Amino acid sequence: MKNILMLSLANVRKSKSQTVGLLVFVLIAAMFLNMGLVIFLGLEKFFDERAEANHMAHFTGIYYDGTVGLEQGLRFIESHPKVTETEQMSAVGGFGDYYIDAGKNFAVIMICPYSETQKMDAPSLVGDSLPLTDNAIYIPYFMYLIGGFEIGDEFKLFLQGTDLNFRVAGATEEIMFGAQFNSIHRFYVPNERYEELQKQFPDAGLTLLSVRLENIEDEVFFQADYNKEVSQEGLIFDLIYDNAKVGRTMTVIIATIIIVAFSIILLIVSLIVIRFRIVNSIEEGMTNIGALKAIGYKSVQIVSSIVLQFGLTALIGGVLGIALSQAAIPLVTQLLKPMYAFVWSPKLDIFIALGAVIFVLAAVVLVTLITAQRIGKLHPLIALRGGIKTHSFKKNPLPLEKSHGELTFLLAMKQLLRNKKQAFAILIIVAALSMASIVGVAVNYSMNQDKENFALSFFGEMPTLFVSLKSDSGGEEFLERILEYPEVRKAYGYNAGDNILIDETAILVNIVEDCSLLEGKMLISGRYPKHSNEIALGMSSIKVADKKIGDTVIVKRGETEAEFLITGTVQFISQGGFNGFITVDGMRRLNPDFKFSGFNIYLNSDAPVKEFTQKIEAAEGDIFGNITDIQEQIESMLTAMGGIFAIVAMGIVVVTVFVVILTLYMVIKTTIGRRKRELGIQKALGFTTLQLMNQIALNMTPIILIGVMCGAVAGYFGLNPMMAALMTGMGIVKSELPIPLGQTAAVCASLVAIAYVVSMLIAWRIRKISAYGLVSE
Amino acid sequence: MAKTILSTNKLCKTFSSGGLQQHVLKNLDLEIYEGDFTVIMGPSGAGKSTLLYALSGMDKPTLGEVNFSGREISGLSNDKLAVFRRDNCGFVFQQMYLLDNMSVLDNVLACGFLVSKNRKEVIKRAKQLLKRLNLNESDWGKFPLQISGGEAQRAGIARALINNPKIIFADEPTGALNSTYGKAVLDALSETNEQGQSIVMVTHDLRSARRGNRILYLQDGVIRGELKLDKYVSGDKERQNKLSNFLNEMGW
Repeated sequence: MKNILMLSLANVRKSKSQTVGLLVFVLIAAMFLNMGLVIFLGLEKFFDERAEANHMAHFTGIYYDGTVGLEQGLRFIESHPKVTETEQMSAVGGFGDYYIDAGKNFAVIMICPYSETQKMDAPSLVGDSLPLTDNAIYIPYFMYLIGGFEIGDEFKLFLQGTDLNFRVAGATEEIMFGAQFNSIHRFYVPNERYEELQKQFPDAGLTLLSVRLENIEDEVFFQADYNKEVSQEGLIFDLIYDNAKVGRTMTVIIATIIIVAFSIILLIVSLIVIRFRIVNSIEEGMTNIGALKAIGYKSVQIVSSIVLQFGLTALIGGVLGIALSQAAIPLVTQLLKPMYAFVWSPKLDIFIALGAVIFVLAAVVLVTLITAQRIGKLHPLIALRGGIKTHSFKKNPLPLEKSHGELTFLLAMKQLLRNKKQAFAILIIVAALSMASIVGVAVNYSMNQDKENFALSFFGEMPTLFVSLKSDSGGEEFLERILEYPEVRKAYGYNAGDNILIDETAILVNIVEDCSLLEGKMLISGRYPKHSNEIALGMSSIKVADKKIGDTVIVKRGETEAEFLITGTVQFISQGGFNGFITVDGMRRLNPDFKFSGFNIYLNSDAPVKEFTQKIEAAEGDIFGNITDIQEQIESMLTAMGGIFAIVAMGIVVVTVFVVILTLYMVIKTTIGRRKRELGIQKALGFTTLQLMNQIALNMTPIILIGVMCGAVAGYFGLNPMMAALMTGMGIVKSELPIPLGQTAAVCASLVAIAYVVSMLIAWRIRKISAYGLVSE
Repeated sequence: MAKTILSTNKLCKTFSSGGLQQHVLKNLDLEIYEGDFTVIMGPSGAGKSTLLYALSGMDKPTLGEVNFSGREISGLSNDKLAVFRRDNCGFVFQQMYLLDNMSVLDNVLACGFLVSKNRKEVIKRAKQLLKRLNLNESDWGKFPLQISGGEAQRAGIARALINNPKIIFADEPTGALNSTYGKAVLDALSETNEQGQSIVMVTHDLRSARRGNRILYLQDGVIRGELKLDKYVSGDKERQNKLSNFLNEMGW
């Protein structure tokens, strides 16, 4: 063992910079792997623990007071055998807006009295807070994070056409609500202020029904039973814990999946480089291997020394990577925090850390073992003679007599063609990294630059404004008046998120006056419903129902049921794909009294949205429930998400450039070492340093160019399938995000240019190889 | 009077290692004449190869000057020296130093294309040289490790001649060859010298030294003696005796 360690350390000493390079590779891979896994696995675990500590509800329903749905809901939960605990909480609210940086954000708003006796999901204050007095309000923590609020700041809500002004006194962590994607937010105010609000909005009284079950796994079935038995009248929203969790963790999970996937790519890159290094160190140290064998070292001892050398490097790199990742995790979670809206400081997870190190170490040791096996086959005499070079009968690629072109270029190409395996390995590395970069750039482009297309692809219909009336009476007249405004391009009735059941699965359907008026990219196959017996469904709904286009389904709403023909599949982020579209006539088969209370309004592109909003608020104020600037709302949501993905994309591009540079450094340094004699001869014959540098750089450039192009093609064709796979859980099965050709070309060109320049800089060490040094050796 | 192609002025070369200094060439003044086959002899460690590489611009002197056709070259940068070597010098090494990853013909062409843009002319000349040096056409496409040492060395000479150098530097060109291959190589060098090619050759082999018309004896970093001979003629006993006597005088 001592001898093996001695040999390993001698190898390390001989190639210090290469060892450091490999260590850095492993370090980066382990760092990203640990970081991704800690956040990916830790967040859900923490969320569950935090929720349990806060005694969260397993099911929550929000109802307008005095409605049939509320009455039936109360009866249902009181009699359900699996319910172990219930709680009712009063609130004032409904559909409204909260303001952040003067921007209006549409949401379900619940203004609650602060109560010490609240059992489920009791208000949990984050950081400093003031007691609730006068006009004070506790707002959800995520608003603190994205709005930058501090204690004492003004805070504004908009409910039933009225602005409500408060002063921030603190922030609460929420379990079921308080996430940007859930769009249901609970605010706490002093009891006196709450009573005032009750008086001010007599028809905005809400009741929040919270339920805990014997077993949390029953929540999906409970919700299905609930929706089957309880009328939807008066229901604003019902939510199970799992959906709340998904809403909070979805973006973070996607981001961390990308990070983990990238770390795997980096690990593969490391393994390729390690293999390359071992093959070269065997070739370079052939005589030494022969000498060691000649003096009695067994092959297994020599192989063990190499395994120990790379294993030790991987172990140190892995451990340092974990340490670095633990240091970086707080920075990353700070960035992701607005999405999950918790105070969460992930600690070192010894199992994940050990798992990551063992995984990296095992991969490195395995590759080392496989690659070093060839040592066993080497005869000592052949090794002592420097290998089997004399029996090399490789073809002479690009014979100079027949090949035309500049000499330096031809020599570079000859070298490249004689090292196809090395070229292929570099090509794979560059292609994988380029693909990651291009996917990162494309996602960033969609989320930060081509926002409208992204929103239309995934977020459903995007009118300019959405108006909900206080009641469903007077809707037809309202629509007629709206259509007369010159600023209005189009308007129609649109009620979002009505609960129906298909095979006892709860589905949120959007009811549309005329689906041909829709502009979003929701339809992915078939067509929208036209007739009263037609429905288009989200992929999750269709899968669970085990149906396809052309099949019929029984749709139930309350006590009424009717048969519908599936005409198409749709997708938009809502209810994990348990969603769909139905015509107004179709809805009337389930609810004959149905009338629109919501309306999509599209303004001409040059129409001033704010002024128009104010104008119709003034004209129609009495009947308004709410008016929402949808585009502004989506913009605000995408800004938060886009910021995260912009940083993830930037991180991927930066790491890609760094890893490409490191790969080139290691490969070129090894190549120069291996070709020292050849380069010395060329210098002696009159090749200048610049010519030799160009020879080395040009040798690498075509591989990089092809690798980048392969990566670009893979990114081009792989982006959308990858996006669809990542977003399946959200109900997205098809993605058609554009690849920004200009940015892609710029990334590709930059990578090639950087690779060439870096190759030249690394090859600069050739100047140190003297022709005289060669001949005097 | 033959024209001077190379000259040195107080040429010194000192090697330092571990704080110790070794003065290999000491204030050496020397002239090499155009068309001569100059042979540098001397005992091991005399500085023969050091002198050859200092003269050829492969290495820089510690002090003093090297002038090539009246132009001082010892102060040139490494890249300028590389250009100088490609334009003016041909090299034949003991270890051949052919590029292993290129065929015999490519080895010659790579050197030719470095200087001339006239591809056809370079290819034609390369083939002529290889033929002249008795290398079989079937060997031209082979790699250096697939041919014999003598063939490789003759390929090395073809490479050295491809650019019509003003001078050829040969460092123990037969040192790694058996007598048959060695003779073929020396014949090739003699033949080129007969055609007017200037050659400077370092050797400690008597049979090789006989080919020169000017023998310099280097010892302890200085030229101890010089012997001028007529042009080489095979089987010239008198020439052989003169050389033997000279070397005896020098303490060889």
